[in-house]
Amino acid sequence: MKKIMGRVLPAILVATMTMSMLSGCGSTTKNVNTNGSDESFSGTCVVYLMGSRHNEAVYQALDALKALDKYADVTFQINDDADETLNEKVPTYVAAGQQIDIVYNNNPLFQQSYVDGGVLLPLDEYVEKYKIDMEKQYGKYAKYAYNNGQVYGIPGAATVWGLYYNKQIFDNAGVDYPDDKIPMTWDEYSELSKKLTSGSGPDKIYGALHLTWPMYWYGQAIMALGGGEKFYKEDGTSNIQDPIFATALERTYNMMNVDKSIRTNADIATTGVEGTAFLDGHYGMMFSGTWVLNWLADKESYPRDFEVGIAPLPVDAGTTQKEWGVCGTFSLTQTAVDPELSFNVMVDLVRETTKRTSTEIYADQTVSSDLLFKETVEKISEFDKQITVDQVRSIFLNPDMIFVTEKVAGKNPSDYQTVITEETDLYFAKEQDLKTTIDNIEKRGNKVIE
Amino acid sequence: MRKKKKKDNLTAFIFLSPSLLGFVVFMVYPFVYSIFISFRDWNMFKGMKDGASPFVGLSNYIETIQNEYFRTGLIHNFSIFIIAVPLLLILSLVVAVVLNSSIFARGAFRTVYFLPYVTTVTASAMVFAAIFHPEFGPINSLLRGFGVRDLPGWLGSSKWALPTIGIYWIWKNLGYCVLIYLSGLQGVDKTYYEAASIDGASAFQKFKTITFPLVSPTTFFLLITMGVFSLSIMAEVQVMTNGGPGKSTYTMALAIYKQAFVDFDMGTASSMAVIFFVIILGITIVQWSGQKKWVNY
Repeated sequence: MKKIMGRVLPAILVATMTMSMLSGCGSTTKNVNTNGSDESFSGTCVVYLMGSRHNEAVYQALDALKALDKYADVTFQINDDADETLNEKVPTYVAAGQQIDIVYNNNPLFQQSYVDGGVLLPLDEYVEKYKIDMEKQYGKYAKYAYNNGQVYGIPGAATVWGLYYNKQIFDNAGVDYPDDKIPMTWDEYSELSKKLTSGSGPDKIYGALHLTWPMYWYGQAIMALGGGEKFYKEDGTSNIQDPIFATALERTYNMMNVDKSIRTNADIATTGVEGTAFLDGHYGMMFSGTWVLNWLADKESYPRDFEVGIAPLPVDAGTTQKEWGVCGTFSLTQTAVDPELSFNVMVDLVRETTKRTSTEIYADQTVSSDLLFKETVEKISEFDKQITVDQVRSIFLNPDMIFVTEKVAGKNPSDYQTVITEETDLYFAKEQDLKTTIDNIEKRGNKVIE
Repeated sequence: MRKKKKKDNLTAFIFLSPSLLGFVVFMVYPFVYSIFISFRDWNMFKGMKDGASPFVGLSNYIETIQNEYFRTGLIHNFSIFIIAVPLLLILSLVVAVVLNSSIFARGAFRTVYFLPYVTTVTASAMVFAAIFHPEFGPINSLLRGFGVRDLPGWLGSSKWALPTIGIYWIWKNLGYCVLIYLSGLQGVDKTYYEAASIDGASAFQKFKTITFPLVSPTTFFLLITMGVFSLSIMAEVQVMTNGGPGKSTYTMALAIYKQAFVDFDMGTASSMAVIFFVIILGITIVQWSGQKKWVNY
């Protein structure tokens, strides 16, 4: 008897453990209706917030989801690591079989790489099943859901850029603040940057802060051309020979190396300067996305001793506001245990975040986002009294402004952008002339586009 | 007697088995698997399931040979190997000889030299970037003080970035090499030097005819290990320049990493790794066969 028990008990134990592990890792879908109205789910949903973790509304939305009957039996595991290299690690985790149901892509280039690398699952089946009209639900942001003609993401946070300026540096230079309704041109911007520049050595005041992101030069070109799609000609080859790219490159080169009103690309790269450097008081202006509002509102984490003003992004010509930006998306990975559950979570999460968001635009057009910029700007205006909710909304949410895609948008965008960056690095470092730079981008770009 | 030998062998294998198992699981198996992957259009998420990773013959190897980043990396690695490794060994032998003599605060100096080796790459690379800052760094300030006009752009210049990484690499590994040389020097019998002194040999003659030949096994060991390290350099590059400006600091290991974990092309990345291994193996064999001529055991 003792011998039998000695064999049976461990077997029962192992079987029980195996069953409990399987039931813990998996999930079952109950009462699924095709219209998705009163269904409920169970199981575990692992969400990697990645680039969406900055927004408090995402956490509030997740709490709201947990309170829904639909998800009463669902355990949410939220990963909100501040690891900037998570974008590169996630595919490895997925390849190793680790359960990651939902990831956030804050950059369309990463999204395309994930799709090309087979990290993500297509969502068309679920979009059809739950009768989601992408264009109606996500409006102008719907296009960010698509890769290679299929739906791979649910549009989330949209970035919109504006011009932030240090009022103290403007005052010291005796220069008027930028208009908060009529944008200046890029030529006026570089001229203004020159005027604001003063001093030398470590205490030098630069007219503007440009990071190494290629948007800091090519943004000017694609704004004029109509978006990142214009990096490609009609026939799909590189459009870099369009003179507007040379003009944008040259303008940035002159700011860097002739006027010396911005730090050089090499300097920024080697010293690891980030956007928050604007708050150290050495830069007159910085054009950047709405995420800067978070820094301005949180003076404890991002201290500063000067007032900030906000103006529309400079434009190529005219007085109409023009904007660039992209929209991040939530996607399912290959190791999503219950794709239907996770799909529902993504759609509901975007909707609930849209209702609550204050710091960044969220994409769901079927609900109102009355709180947008309200709480954040109210916090900012405690210190920067001239910044108002209406002003910020008129800059970032102006219905008349022209909106273009921020990144390279076309075939093999990631490698194409790498080529662009490598060649322009050499131009900005004065090691290659403009013509060679453009020719090399075209030659090498066409090779990677093929 | 034979039975006892068998028993001894078995005992030895039992004691060796944990490390042997680790070696097979973590080194041999991944290596063999990597060769297998290198002949396939590998789908890292599905593996061999549903024929997701078809056999592609040598096409990954052809792609590797044509890959501009790998080719550039190969040239850069060879430059570091040919220039930085000999410089490192010469410098560390000189420092070790000095530290082996009766100088003031010898222990403190040994610690100071060894510190960079135990400092994290990220932290020390950031400090290095600040020291070599083209505008505000102390190195260029010093050069400016000496009247140098055309100052190097260091990490920001495609001409200087690789030499700067080479300097950093030498600085970081100097302490380790000095330590190994010191242990080699302490094994040299003092009576040789006493005899040479009686014969009227100069310090240089003593170094040339006693020290250098007697530490040649140490030099050989360091040449092999530092040679391998110089060919597999990556973390320093990733932190300091990420391969830029342009492609001026790409190395083979960085090219492999990007192919695998940025482009998710495991097939080509594996073929790069196999070629990388063959290159290192080839160099090591050449070094090994050449050692008979100059290493004294």
